[in-house]
Amino acid sequence: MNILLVEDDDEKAQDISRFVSEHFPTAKIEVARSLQSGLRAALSGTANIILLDMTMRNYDRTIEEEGGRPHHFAGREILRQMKREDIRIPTIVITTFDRFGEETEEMTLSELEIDLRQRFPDYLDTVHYRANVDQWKGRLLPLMKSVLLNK
Amino acid sequence: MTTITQIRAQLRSKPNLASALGDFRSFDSAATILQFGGTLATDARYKNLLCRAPFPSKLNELAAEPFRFRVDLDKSIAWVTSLFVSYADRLNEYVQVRGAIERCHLVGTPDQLAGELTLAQARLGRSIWLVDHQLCQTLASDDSTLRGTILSDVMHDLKVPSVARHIISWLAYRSAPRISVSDVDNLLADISFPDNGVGCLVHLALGRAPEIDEELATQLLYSIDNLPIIDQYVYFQLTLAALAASGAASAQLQRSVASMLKHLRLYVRDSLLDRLITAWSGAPCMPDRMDLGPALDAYSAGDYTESTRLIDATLGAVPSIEAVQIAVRSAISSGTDWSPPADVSSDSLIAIVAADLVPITLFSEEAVEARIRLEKVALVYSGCSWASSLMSALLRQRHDEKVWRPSRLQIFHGFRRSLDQPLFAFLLPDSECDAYLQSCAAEGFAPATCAALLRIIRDRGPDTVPPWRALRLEAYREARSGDFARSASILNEAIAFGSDPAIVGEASLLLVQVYLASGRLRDAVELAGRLVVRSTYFGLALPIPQLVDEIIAQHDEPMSDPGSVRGYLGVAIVLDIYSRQIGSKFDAERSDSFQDVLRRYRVSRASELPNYVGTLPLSELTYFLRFVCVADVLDQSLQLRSTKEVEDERVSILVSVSSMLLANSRPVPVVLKDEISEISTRQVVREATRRLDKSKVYVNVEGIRRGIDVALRETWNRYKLSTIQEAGDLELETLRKIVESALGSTVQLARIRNPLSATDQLFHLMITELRDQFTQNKEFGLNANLSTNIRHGYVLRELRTPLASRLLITNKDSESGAYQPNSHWLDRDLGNSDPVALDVVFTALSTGVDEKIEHINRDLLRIRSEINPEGLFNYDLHTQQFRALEIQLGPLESYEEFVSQVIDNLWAITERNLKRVRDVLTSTIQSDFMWLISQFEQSLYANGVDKQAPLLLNAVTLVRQEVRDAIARVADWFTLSRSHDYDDFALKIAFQAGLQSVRKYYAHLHISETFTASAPIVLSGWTLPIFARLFFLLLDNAASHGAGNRPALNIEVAAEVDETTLLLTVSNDLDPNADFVRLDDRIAQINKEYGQANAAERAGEEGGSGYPKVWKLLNFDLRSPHDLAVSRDGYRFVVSILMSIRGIRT
Repeated sequence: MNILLVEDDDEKAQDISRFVSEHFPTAKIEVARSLQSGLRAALSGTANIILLDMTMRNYDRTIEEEGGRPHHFAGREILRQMKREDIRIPTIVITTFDRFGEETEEMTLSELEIDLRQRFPDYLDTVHYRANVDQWKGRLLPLMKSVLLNK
Repeated sequence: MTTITQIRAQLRSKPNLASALGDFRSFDSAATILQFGGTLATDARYKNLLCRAPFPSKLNELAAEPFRFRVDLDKSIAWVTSLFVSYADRLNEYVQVRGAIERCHLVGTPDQLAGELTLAQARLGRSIWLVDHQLCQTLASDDSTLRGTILSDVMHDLKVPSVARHIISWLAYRSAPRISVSDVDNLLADISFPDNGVGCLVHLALGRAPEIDEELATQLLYSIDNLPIIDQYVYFQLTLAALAASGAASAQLQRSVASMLKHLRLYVRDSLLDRLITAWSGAPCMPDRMDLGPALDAYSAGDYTESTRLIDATLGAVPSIEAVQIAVRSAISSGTDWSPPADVSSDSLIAIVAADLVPITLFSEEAVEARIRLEKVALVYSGCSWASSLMSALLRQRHDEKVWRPSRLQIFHGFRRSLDQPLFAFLLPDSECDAYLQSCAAEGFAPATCAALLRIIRDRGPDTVPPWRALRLEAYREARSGDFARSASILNEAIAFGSDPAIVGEASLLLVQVYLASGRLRDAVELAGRLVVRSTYFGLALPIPQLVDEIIAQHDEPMSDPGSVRGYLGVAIVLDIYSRQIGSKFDAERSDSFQDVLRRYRVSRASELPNYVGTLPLSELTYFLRFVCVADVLDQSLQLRSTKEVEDERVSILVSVSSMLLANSRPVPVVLKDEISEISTRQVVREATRRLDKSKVYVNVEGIRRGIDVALRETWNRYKLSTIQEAGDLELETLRKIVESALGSTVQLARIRNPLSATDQLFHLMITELRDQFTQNKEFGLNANLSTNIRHGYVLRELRTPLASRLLITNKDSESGAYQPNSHWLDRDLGNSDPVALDVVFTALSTGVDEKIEHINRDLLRIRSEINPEGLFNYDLHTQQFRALEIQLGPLESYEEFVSQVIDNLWAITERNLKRVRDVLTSTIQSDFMWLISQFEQSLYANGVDKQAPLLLNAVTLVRQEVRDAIARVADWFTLSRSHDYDDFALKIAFQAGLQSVRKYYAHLHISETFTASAPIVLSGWTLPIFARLFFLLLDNAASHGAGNRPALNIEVAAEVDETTLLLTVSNDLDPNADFVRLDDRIAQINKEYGQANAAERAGEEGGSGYPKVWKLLNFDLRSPHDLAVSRDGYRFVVSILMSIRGIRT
């Protein structure tokens, strides 16, 4: 089983990967660290489930590459492109934020969830992540099981 | 039948007069109120309670609050109508004065306008209407003092009714310089909603037409009850215009209002009332006159000379937007230019409007700016009826009411226009349109024009209309009746054979609308794309939002679907113009459309598209490549994996576009070349900066070699002699053999060496000397370079920047030395937190971060020694290491070889030290920073910051990865560069490289810069790190010391060069509130100390001004004789450096 984790925060990515590996030891976890690499991996269509961050830079950050411009709704953009290209993969959004975007684009997490639910049939749910609180694990696990164990 | 006597008796019978009057206005019939309201309001006994100051000399004479009972709309209208009838003489006077003032705005001198306004105040008192015109007067006379006085009188006087102050504040805002129409609309959308009476009032005052119903109209009239009669009259008309435009009045109300308006019209001669009566009664109410009738008829008949002559003859006396429009269109149609007649000043507002109407009518590129200017004029002068004429003209170009149902805004402004015209008919329902035009014709108002216009609603009309105009009218009629195919066919014919650019533009625009209305999206989009490419003004004139809605509706449908518009250039162009002129809402879809074009033409990169120039139209392809294929779109292509690849592709595209244009004999815009140059410079600077970052750890070995050559060579010679002598003294092997032979048994030699023999001491001395020079030489050694290239500002700025950019840490106050309070966050609503406690939390983070950075600089990034025992650069050599080196290097024959090998060993040690630094930074230091941030976050929660402060918590989340990235960047500095070869470079590149670092570290500061050079200055590549660091030091000084608390800084660099010298002058502006006495003292001190004996000592220290570092760079690294002087020139700080560039200029 293939799990695609799209996350640009190294610590958060490690934390989630560790948790997922504990519960799905046979799963192959691919980590993408930006909108571009996440989109590329998602459009390849090989993942069974996608764990998706929302706010990311355009490219993977390296010493040479500063990451390009930031996208407040990078995760939504990946979902939009998947829908447009008819790539159907169940997706869970994992985010640390309660509010997204700026000025006219600004929206709360609840508003974003409604938007995602209305527009993207493969969007499952949103898990709110905090590094020092384990609540997210209890939310994420049943969601992932509902997809991966029913396959 | 009720009489006034009975009404008075009724009022007297009640104990409370105010309450009795309230009952009268609330419970008597509208007819009674209409009949007696004005009489009561002007009666001295009741006036104080009903209309205290109808024409006040000051606005503070007005009642503070409106009538305290809200009554039904028809009774409210009856009340004000009755008031107006009672004050009819004054209102007729107002109509005259209004005309004169509005005329003065268009063609009068400032003195004439001032005279009219003074007269208006004398006759009619103060009013919002008058204040509004006075504010406009200050614009014409550019008198900001007068503007301040006018506003101060009203806004600071709390006795002025709040509604008056509220409206005037908006009027002042919208007429302020540099406030755009979108600024006003955005603010309206943010804070003034038209969902209540006062909100609607503001919108109406600004010429907006809110959708209102009877309830809102009732609130509106209630809001103005205590205003001067003039204002009540103005807003009464606006309310009825908006209500009619909203189409929300009941039939009963329509009858009632029409009746009352007709009653009022008997007393007040105002053409605006005629139009309202027409709208509310459903029957034409003809004005007394139509001034432009003959000119209109001449224009309709194609006699442009006559139409222009008639306009010229009357414009000075009766100026109007409608007249200017006829003159402009006549000139365009006859292929001539038009300027206002001699009696109209070329500086007058009407001349300015006329000049802007020309490009708008021609749909030329200049029209974009012209339209923005005219929309601002219409907004600023929204109190003038001619502003509605102007808005009507602008709105018609986008949405012609002769063809399409008029919008609410069109109807609203149509009612308020300054002149009556037959076109008013098209604002009325179909059934009334015909009647109005016939009535106009019957009255002799532009009968030929009326007859021509009638062709639009029924197929008949005079033959006097020129054939091409008849064709156009026919196209209008077919579109209006819904026969879009026929209309499109006629319009295509008109476009193909038309020669009048205005007519062709209008026909093209209408054709897009007709295609859109008939569902021919691809045709609509492709034509829209062609038009936008011809002039981006079409982006403002075309129905772009509707086109985009249709595009988006089928955006996700497969490209293979028949009828799919995916992949056509027109789609990308329409989405692009939406992005540029309307908003970013569909930017993602614009990127999709770019990728769809590539997909449709089976190319992976846009730079390959010029191969399709035969298939794709050149103009549209050029637009697509130039304007759609920009960085923010290209970076969505999965083919391009980095910023550099995007830039490279953009350059390829620009080169292709240039070649394509040249091949087709088209001019190549200079901006293409400029953009290529800008991208190339950016890439060179970025690459140079990256390489400079990699070459921060550096030792000038040649400098060290030169410095110690004589002394060390002497030591080496002594050492070699000593080793030879030692060998001579100790021919042990020979001795052993002799003893062995004598004893007849094997003899083992036991070597016992004094560890500090003279030879060893010499060897130790040389190694130690070289090591100390390598690490500690003040000019060339590692420590000096660590200090200049890393410790001085770089570590601090790099690690502080993410936290400072997220505004999580603050700087210290220069006076008190304490951290400044974090007002950015503390001034916000942060949940249930205590600001004092939070201040401590923020200060703790700032302190922790700075202490950690100080620890890195002061203790870790040091050569290890007794003073710096934690220094990560450890060059300690133990006895065994000396021995090993002696075995390795002792046998060497030449001094040069020995020194080289020692240096190689020192580099090897350096490599190990660098790895240690990188490891410590990315492990211990990173953990320490993460711990600091976590502690900070927990303290925030503990102090009551919760989800009510998402921006703060988001900042904390985001900053973690940014700090990790910053630490990784710092760690990456600790590598040895394999190559120190740089290409020769222009001095400006070094400046840009230095500036780039400063910009990154001072992200909050807007830095504007100029760089000028007296001649091209290209320098040898090896000096690039020196000049880039020199600029960094100077610009960093400017940013940290020169900006003060300002958000902006200006830097000017001038380079004057001759054969051997370079005079570099770097200046920055200063905070006008800076302590100049102190600064001048500091300047004197810098000049005194620069390059003095202790400069080398101080080059190895961090902090301060950095001038010792400058001295080190120029004196030792560049080895350039130079002079440096700092000075203050008024509000500018200036550094001048005169240096020799002999041998380094190529």
